[in-house]
Amino acid sequence: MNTSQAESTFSQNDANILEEVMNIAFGKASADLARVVDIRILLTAPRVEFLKADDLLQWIKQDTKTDDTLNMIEQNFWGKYTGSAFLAFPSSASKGLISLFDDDDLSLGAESPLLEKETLLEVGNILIGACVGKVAELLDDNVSFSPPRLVPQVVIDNPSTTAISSKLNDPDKMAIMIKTVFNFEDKDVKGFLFLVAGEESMQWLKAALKNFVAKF
Amino acid sequence: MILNQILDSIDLGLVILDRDFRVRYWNRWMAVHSGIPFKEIKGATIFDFYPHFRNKKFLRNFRAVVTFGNHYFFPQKLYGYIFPFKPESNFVSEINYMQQSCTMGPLRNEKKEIEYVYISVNDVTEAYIYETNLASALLTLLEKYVDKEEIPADEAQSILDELLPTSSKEVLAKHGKPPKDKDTHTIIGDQLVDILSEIAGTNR
Repeated sequence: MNTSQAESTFSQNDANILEEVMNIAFGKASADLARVVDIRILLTAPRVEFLKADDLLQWIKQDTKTDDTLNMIEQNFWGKYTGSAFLAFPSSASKGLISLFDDDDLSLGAESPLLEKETLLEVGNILIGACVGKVAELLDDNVSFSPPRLVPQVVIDNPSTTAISSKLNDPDKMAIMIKTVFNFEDKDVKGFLFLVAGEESMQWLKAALKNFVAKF
Repeated sequence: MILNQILDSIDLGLVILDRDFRVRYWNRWMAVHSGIPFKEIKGATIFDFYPHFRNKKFLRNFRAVVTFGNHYFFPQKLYGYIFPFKPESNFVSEINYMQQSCTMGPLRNEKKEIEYVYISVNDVTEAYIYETNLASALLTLLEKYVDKEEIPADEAQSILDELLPTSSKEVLAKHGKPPKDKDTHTIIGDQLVDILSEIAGTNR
């Protein structure tokens, strides 16, 4: 399927509704994150785009261009809405994220690389789970998650030589990409959240968006 | 009926908690390994039997599960275990507790509201022992080459950092060996070199 075919399947109107759904979902996620887990975060209005799955990592890299190196967390989710979430932020932000949680158990020591990695994964897990979970809830779906993992630095540095995922690396397939910028209040940490769904979710997504609009 | 048989037969621990942390289900695997029968723990809070769960990290992620439908993962590398059970094998002397990889996730009722939270417990002790032995052997081997100045120390460190989930210091600490236990390390290193040479010879 080429870009125009994908867009004929998933119209601009659908994309606009999806942006609206994401906006509501991320707003709820943001409020609940502050209330429930004491993470104060601002999420910008999401943007929906279509692109070839093969170009995904290069696009993310280009879109998150910064002088600093990037850390990226990948987490797959599946339900009727199935795909991958990517959370990207500058490596220098890692220390700031660790101080996000005022934990009583620091048996590993605050400087442990293992603690740093696990804290990043925990932040990623909560953030991705909150955003994807709220979207799924609005669209009347339940999703499950695989464990989050850090994308190796070598993959981020050489996106053109790396297939991003066995599910998304068919060069002819199109992906729906949803991007939002997040800001941790008080921490001066900014990053990007990408939700990528393959073609297999498009048909369901179209129907779910139609049902969503019909409620109003 | 069949589902109950499955849940009680699988080689996996399964606990179901309600939103008030009360135990609603405790499968046979959990009963066998904990020594606590289901009828004894049923209705009690998990903190009554395992007070260490009352910590900020667990409570935060429990709340994320019941609020967002998140899944939370307790990796063995970070936690070691969350339920202090004896290792299954009678011949494991290296560790005191079964190493576990656990997952916590939501369970919804007919109205799709999250009513319960499940925790699954996987015994990964064997894999952990194998990985730790391998890491220790690798460390020994690298130390040997560093001592002979065949590999620069910083290069050896970066190999370790790349390959091992924890720093070399943490591997040694977990394995109970002092970092400079040269005699033991030399013996293991020599044996490993011999084995590797043998394998290389066979494959030629």
